[in-house]
Amino acid sequence: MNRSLRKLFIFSVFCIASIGLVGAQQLTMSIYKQEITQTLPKLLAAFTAANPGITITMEIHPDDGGATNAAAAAAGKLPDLVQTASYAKVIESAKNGYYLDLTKQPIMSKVIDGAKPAVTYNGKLYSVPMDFAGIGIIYNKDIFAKYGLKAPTTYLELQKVAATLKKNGVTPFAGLLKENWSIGHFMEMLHSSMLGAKVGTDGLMKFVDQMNSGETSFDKDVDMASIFKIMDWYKANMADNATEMAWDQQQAAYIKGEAAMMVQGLWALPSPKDNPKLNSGFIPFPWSNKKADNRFFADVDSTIAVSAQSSPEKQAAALKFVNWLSSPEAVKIWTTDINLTSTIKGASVSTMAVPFQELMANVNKNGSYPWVFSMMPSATWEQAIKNGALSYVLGKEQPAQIVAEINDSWKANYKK
Amino acid sequence: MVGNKAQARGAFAIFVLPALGLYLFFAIWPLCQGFWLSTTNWDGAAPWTPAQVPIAQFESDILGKAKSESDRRFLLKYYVKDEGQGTYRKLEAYGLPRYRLMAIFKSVGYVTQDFKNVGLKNYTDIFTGNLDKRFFPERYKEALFQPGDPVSKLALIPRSEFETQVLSHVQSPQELAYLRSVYSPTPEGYALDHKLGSLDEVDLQSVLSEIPGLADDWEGLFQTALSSGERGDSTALSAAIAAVPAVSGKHISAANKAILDSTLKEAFDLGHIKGVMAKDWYQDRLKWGVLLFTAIFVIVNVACVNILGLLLALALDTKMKSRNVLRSVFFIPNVLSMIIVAFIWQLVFREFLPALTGIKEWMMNPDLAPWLTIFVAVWQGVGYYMIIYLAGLQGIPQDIIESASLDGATGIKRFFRIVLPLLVPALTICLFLSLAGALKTFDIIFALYPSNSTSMGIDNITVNIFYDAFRDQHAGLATAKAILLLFVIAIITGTQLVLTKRKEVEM
Repeated sequence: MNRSLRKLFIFSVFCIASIGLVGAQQLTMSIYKQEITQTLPKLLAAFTAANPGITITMEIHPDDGGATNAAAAAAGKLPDLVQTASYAKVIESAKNGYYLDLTKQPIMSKVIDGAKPAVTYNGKLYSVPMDFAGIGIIYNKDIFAKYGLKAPTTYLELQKVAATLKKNGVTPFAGLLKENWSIGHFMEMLHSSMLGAKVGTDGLMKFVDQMNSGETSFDKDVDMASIFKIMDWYKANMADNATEMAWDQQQAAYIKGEAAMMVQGLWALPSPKDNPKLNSGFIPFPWSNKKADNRFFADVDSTIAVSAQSSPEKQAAALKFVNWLSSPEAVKIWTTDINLTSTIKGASVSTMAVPFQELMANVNKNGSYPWVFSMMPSATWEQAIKNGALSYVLGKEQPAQIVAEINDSWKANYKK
Repeated sequence: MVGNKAQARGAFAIFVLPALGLYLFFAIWPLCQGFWLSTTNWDGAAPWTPAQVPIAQFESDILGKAKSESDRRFLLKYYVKDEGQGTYRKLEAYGLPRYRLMAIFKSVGYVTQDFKNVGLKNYTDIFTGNLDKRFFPERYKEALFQPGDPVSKLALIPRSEFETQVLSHVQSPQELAYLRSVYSPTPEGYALDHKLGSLDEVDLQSVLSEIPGLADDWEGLFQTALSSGERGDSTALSAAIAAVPAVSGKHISAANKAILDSTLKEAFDLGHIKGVMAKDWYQDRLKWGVLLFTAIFVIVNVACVNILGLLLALALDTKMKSRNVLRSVFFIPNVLSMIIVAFIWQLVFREFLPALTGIKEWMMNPDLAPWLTIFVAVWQGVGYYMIIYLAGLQGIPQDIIESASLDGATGIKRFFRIVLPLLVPALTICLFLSLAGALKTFDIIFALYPSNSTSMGIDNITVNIFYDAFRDQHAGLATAKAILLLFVIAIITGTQLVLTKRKEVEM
């Protein structure tokens, strides 16, 4: 063998050997939360610094990543780590054997008990609940102060606030009607809140069971006409071109002060980097004129699961990451840099922005309505509700059709 | 041409055999597997053999009924007992082991509910129209006013719209008389009675909520007045007003009672006009559905890319100075990735066109959306066909054109009698590629309308197949649609090839 070939051979053997020695693993992680794509790398880098040899690359799949991850799982190519929404998305994958059982992992004993139902299937825990999120109104406190407005606690107060803002040339709500998920959240929030106010959280869980068995209807005990009326009012209080606005345009309109409010999850709170002077608050969407009915629509939002389709070595590396997430360093990055609440016991919101503290204080005082949309079959949420809500605001479908489709889809797609 | 038999056998072994092998593996095998999947009810997510089976059931119905010891051992290799869970849990099994596991499950008679054979049910569902109604064209009423919209939207309606979209839908003479009483024709259109049009729900509710003695009951009264107005039921309003002393339980002064009565009556009037207009102000529309949108997309796209491509090629085949630069400029859209194309046009439709024209809604206007999608697809594709037509034009000998000119043939005659017949080979290729491409289009629609194509009614057949499989969990049905699409493409392009081949002129 000539000299250069020999060198190349020795070098290759060295590389292969060193990979084996160090136990280097390259993991992939599927992410759906588009708002954390800039900040999550800090968390991943911190993990690699603490665990040299294990690197994690992000794959971004917006709009809940549902269809993309489903296709990957069916082909046996699920990424090693999967950020997934709670409840049904975890349960369906657990049922299909796509996620590892994490019940005995150390991190699970450090997660608050209230967050565990969101990741439980057959009594086992299949994903790590990461953040507890609320959907409500993010509002600009300075604009409100400028026009002498107080944060509304009833629907009539909200209507008056919007009327005053309009009179003063400020768009009440920054719209996001180009994508289907936000208006889907809005419609579901109204339904769960109205039903929850009537029957309580236990009643809502019973409603889910009865929808699963086809014993009840989506419009039972809820005045659907009033839901669609509120949706009409909401759209009428956005800019004229709200249907053309997607995530970036909604953020821009709120950050620039063109709009005073956004009905969004707190994940949409703009980063101080975008406008350090922005002074935001967070309140439940007050759909009712009875103050006590107006609670946050809040629940476990994102979770992180480990793929059962990865090799044992990759699974071991992925489990190291998942357990590291309860470390003080990880919790600090998650809450202060990534700006999401933490479900780890003892994690404090005092270092987080004011709206997060307002969310947790309100939930601790008044309770919350759970995310029924996470508990229904994925197909019902993705098509019947998200697309149903968007079709309604585009004038393409009427309430009766939408309700019928929700009922049919839920019954047809529920699998034990 | 190959020289001798030995060389021929060599060429066969080195080139043809591997090609056939690859074709078998990458085309024939997936097609067969696709057809097999289309005979199942697979939901796109469930694994093909169960992820877990209760211990007792696994041991008696599966292990117990296994046909051979080697089957039993194979099963236990991939299914581990999990006492804590009470089930046998499957370990990862892809590739050939998966098929052997499936065969074993079939031999013991175990049926996986989310992945079982349903014969040709998916095909009969497609052919009998037993599909999501969004697949087919459908007439619907587009409501132009909803009950929750502000009454200001009703203030002034152009004459023709009012007559065709409102008056022509009114069923009862009383309702017609009512509308004629509250709307008066003006030069600008039909104007709503000013007093009615200036009623404001927030003001009415504010007045009611501040009447001492009513407390929280004001909301129930307001909703009753509004909803009885929507129904035109004045007896319900009278009953609600009469019930006020009982409802409030406290004394309301006469002056406040008068305010209450007049405010509730105004709420009734507001509800009435809103209710009537929500019912009668609509437009009859046609939802294209997946089938019709696909057909229109294909026909218009193919016509435009070919006609425009040919026109551009003709223009750039002249001796103009900038022709080389222009050829590159027109071809550039074709090399851009679909994500960039979608990004560019979303910016144009959202920012530039509204600023230029004053029209705010472009991409999310359901009437414009299909045409904008076709436009972007044509913009992206035309450069490619222009190049092919240009190559075809440059292959036409100049002396034929010159002698035709000398014989007195004008430009148009020269084009249709000489150039076009000689261009048929290029036309054959371009039609074939553009037809197949248009029928298979997925990326441009998915990139322009990532989560909302279904709501906008611009799912074509391939987008519909994708969503059917992975969003709506009907992968078996989606695969059946895909198999049928393959045959449709083959028939259409095959027919086109035969027809255009006949017209090719030998020189």
